[in-house]
Amino acid sequence: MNNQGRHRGNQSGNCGNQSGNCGNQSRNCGNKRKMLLCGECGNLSELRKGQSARVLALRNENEALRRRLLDMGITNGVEISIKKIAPLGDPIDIKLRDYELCIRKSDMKNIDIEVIK
Amino acid sequence: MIYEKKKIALVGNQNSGKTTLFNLLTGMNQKIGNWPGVTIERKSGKLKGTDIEIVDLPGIYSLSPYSSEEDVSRKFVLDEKPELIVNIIDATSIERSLYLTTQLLELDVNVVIALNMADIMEKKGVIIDIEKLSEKLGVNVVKISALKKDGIENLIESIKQNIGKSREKHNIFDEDIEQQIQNVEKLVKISNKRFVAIKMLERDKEIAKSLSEPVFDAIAAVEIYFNTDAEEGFANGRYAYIEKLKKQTVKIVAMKQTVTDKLDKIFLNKWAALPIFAGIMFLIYYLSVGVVGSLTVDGVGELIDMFSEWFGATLGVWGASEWAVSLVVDGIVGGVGAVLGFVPQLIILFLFLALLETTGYMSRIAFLLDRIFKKFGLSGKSLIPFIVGSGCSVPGIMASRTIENQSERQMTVVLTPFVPCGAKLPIIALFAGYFFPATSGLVSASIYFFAIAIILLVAILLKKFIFKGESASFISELPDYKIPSPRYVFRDVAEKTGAFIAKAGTIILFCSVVIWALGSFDWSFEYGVPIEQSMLASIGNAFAWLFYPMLGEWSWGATVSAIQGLVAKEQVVSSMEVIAGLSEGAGGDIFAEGIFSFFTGASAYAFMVFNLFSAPCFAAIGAMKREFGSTKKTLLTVGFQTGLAFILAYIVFGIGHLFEVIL
Ligand SMILES: Nc1nc2c(ncn2[C@@H]2O[C@H](COP(=O)(O)OP(=O)(O)OP(=O)(O)O)[C@@H](O)[C@H]2O)c(=O)[nH]1
Repeated sequence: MNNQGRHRGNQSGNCGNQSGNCGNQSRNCGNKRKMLLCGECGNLSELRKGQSARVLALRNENEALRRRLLDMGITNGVEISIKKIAPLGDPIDIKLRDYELCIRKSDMKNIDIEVIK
Repeated sequence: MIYEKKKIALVGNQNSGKTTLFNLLTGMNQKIGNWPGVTIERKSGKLKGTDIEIVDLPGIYSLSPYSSEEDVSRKFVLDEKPELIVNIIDATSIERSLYLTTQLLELDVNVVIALNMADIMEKKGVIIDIEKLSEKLGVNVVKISALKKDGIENLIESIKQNIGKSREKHNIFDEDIEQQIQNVEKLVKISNKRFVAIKMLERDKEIAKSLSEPVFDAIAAVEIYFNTDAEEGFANGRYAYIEKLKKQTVKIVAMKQTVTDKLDKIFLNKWAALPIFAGIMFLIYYLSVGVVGSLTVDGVGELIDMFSEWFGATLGVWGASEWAVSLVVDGIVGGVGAVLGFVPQLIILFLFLALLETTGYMSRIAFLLDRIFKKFGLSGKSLIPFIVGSGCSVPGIMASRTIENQSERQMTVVLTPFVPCGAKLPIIALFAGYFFPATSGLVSASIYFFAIAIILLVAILLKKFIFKGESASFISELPDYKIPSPRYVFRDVAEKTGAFIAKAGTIILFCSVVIWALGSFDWSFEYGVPIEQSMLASIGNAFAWLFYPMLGEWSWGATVSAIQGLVAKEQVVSSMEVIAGLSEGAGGDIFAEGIFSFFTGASAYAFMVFNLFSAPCFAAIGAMKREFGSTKKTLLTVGFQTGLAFILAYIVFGIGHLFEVIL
């Protein structure tokens, strides 16, 4: 787990602010900082309640799961915000495309994002 | 034309209101619930007043199925070639819903779109330009509310007009991609060319074998254009098209805070959520078994006693022979009446379950407890079979189909019968009510929590030794809270209660007569022998040693009764009543004196535990077999469950008895 998308020189230059283009490669994203600030990149599980982000890439290795996420609308560029967090901290209820979807943190790790709000 | 058999398929996302609409169009009463994945099998009916067949299908988000019940829907639309697809769209989440629509429009079938939930659409600030949407998609769009029965006439009209008609294909991807699709389409020899072509470009598993050289070229071209793999590229392309379409046809006024958000502040509150959940479950059992039970059972019991006395006397006056009176009074009225006495409790239980299912709280429970269940090798989705299973194990076991992961699914099938179902409620209510009169509500709720503890414990063991492997993922839509339709809830409760009563009048009646006969005759078919010498007693005596360690008494009566739980769990109660009626000494009360007077608190609790965990009834065993698809697995499971039941009952009795001796 730890060697995927975990290495990123923390160069803010790679994280284009408005462009939604956080470096060309997803591997550049996802640092270990506690809270992502606007314009920074990371994976979806790092997003906090109330924040919004744009999806940059899906890295799920499980094909069926990846397909499902795509079908549910988690595609490149879509805007996602964190709505609710289960009382025990997992799963998370995210909002996208005008509806709400529950998903586990471990599956969110493989979704690269750029924070936009 | 009129005589031709025509088929319509209802296709849409999970929880979009397909079954509600289906019930409306056909006049039937199929199960509705406010959680994704209620419908797990295709159901068919006739459009009222016509010969057109309507098929309700499990909800799907795309034509690439994820779990087994979703596969049913894809197969139906592809293989059975309906004359029309009615695509139901939840207007409040139109963007996601249209994704499936873009795929349906690739098929050779005509499509009519039913834009459902019109009633809450405006409340959520969604405004849709129906005409424009219809024009852009090239199909008829009708705004309806299945719940409020609005716009149904228009929909039926549109169905009649569009059925069997052909439709213009329309392209939604960029030029270059469309070109490649067309190239591949030429190679497709079966129907639904455009759909199959795109599937080939996506390297869909089911058709991947038949890919040829030109297709690979096209795939390469497409992937270069998309700059990603084709699967993702097409998904992106579809959503890009939908976003464009939405800009032209839909306006969404931003909402402050919806009712759902407010309710979730309470029901999903960090600290309160779990206590609230435990409280609700406790209350359901406490109220239905404890409070309502003690209010009604005595009254109903007395009524039945009075009736049976009067009936017996009347029969006597009419000159019926002694055995005929005994057959009717001890056998039929006793056996069937014992079970019918619990109808009030069941009504309350069914009512609560219907409310859990229709309000949307069910999905919250799954969301709430997923973390815990994940630790035990299950997922939040297993909760749904468990809760449905507290009404009846059969639909509970079937509800496991929505779980995608094989081992989680099979574990859920093994564990669902451990949930106290409606038919086990009479056993629990009978024993708890008599032996723990002051705390019967608490005791019956404790049985429920005991069941949960054992379920989790067994889950760990199963995960560790049998269903090894990675834990799967949990992806589920969180629907808005909805106010249930009183009419549906009423019909649902009435139907389940009716089924219980019907069972009492058929299976239970039949078994009561058999038990009466076995208890009244000995092996030389002589009537009127003391029950201890009857055939029934000798059958019971053969197995009574197994039950001795949980009863502390050699009781053939309790033994044969427990075995009859296989037929139906409530038959345990009915059989005990018949046996008590036949044996001398026992009066109106099963436990007062005579054959069952040996029961104490400890053996009563142990006996409840045994009946809870042992092999479920035949109907549930049948359902398990359908889900496993293997007789061997089913038998193993049943053996395991029964073995576990014995062990647990022995332990409970051992501990309970120890306390009884000390105190
Ligand atoms: N407000 C409102 N609620 C509706 C409407 N139609 C259906 N519902 C509710 O939506 C929920 C889902 O309805 P179902 O008919 O079970 O949905 P389904 O599409 O068959 O669901 P699955 O079987 O899970 O695929 C239920 O709580 C219904 O009461 C509608 O027009 N308006």
